[in-house]
Amino acid sequence: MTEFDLLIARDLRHLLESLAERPDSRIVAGATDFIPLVGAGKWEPRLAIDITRLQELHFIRQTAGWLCIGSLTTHGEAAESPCINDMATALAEACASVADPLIRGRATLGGNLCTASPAADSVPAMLALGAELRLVSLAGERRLPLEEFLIGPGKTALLPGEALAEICLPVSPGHVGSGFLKLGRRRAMAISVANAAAWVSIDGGMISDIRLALGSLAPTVVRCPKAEVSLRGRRVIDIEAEVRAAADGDWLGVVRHDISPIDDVRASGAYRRRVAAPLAQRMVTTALERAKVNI
Amino acid sequence: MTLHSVGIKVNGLLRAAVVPSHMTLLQFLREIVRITGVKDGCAEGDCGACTVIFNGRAVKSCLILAAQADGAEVLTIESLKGPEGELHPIQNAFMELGAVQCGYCTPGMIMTASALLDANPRPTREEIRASISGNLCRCTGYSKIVSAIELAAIRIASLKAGDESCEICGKGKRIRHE
Repeated sequence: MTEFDLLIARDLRHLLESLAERPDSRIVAGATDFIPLVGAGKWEPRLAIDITRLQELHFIRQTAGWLCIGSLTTHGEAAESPCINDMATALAEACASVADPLIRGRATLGGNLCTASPAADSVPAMLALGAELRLVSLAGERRLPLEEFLIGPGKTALLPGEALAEICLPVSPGHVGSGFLKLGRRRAMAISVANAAAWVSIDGGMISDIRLALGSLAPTVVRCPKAEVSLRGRRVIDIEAEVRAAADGDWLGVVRHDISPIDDVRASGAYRRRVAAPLAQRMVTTALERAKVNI
Repeated sequence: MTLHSVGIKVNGLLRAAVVPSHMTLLQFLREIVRITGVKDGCAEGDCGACTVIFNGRAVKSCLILAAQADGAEVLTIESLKGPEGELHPIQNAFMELGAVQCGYCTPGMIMTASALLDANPRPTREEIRASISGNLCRCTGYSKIVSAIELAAIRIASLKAGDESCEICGKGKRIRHE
């Protein structure tokens, strides 16, 4: 492995001071991306700052209207958390489908966000759930909607000296449901060919609000604003009738306008374009079913 | 490169060393502690041959920096043997059912199984399959490995229950495994 300096941060203050002093550094937590990518020469950090001792970033807690998840929470912890399964089902499902159980016990949600892979699994779930991120630096803190955090493959809106502290998911009181599904070559250790997450809110038999997010289908994980607009206000029974009739609703054609998939080692762009709509349809249907159960 | 002074409890013994920043826990175990039951397969987190139990949880030791493991408790395959050097029920079950061919994946497979059985003493076949999904075997295939973990679970449960029909304590009749 390429050599790098390592600093073990003692607490959040120590981390922020070190980040401010050394903007050329890279944070390491679960190290499940860090070690293979540094080993392959794709990342060449001069200084790595280990944050695994920062217990202040390791929590899952509920506060007025929000479910807040510390960035050091592992995928395994999120997948097993009763409150994430209950209030953010899509995220629990996404975390349970990442890599394998051994890696899930180390890999952190903050790491999955900051690595900013377009094929990340937890990210579409967080996007569909309307996540906001709390970013901290010596200068203070700011909150950013997740959409604005994702800039490109491997690129985020984190400024030099800034660290991701927590992920905040809004908890809606109404009839809501969510789901996540990935398409990969096998059940474990597969990087998504494509993935989808949906969140819906139902009111009076209509879709009052919806968020649909797709992964591995664009330079970043993306929301599908056009499809969301064409689904908002639709009657739930009409969507269900479409699915029963195996008909492609007009909104599914629209999904293809929200994505720009490429060819790579895992699949062709044309194949990804084909699977995007059925994945999206399945997740919207799953989210609707769950929202109805929650009535 | 920076140097880090670490103390890691390996199979109950505290091992102290000064390690370079880029050294992994796998390298620490094999090259400094000289515990070679931990296998170096791919060294990039894909194969699971280097699986150890780290603070109670099965992990891939190639994906942890040794400096990050300061203060941790690590268990390797070497920790499973009994006071007289006797094999662990999981190891016996692997031998009896032919769940081993070349043997390279076996220590990692068994450590994953050991962590599974600690957390879930009577897993279903499906739960066993899910738990070893990060451990690759390229020769035996997985059926016999799953059966061996299932058999070990039954034996450990009967040992704990003090069941005299357990084969390992030499009393009573052999447990039949379908």
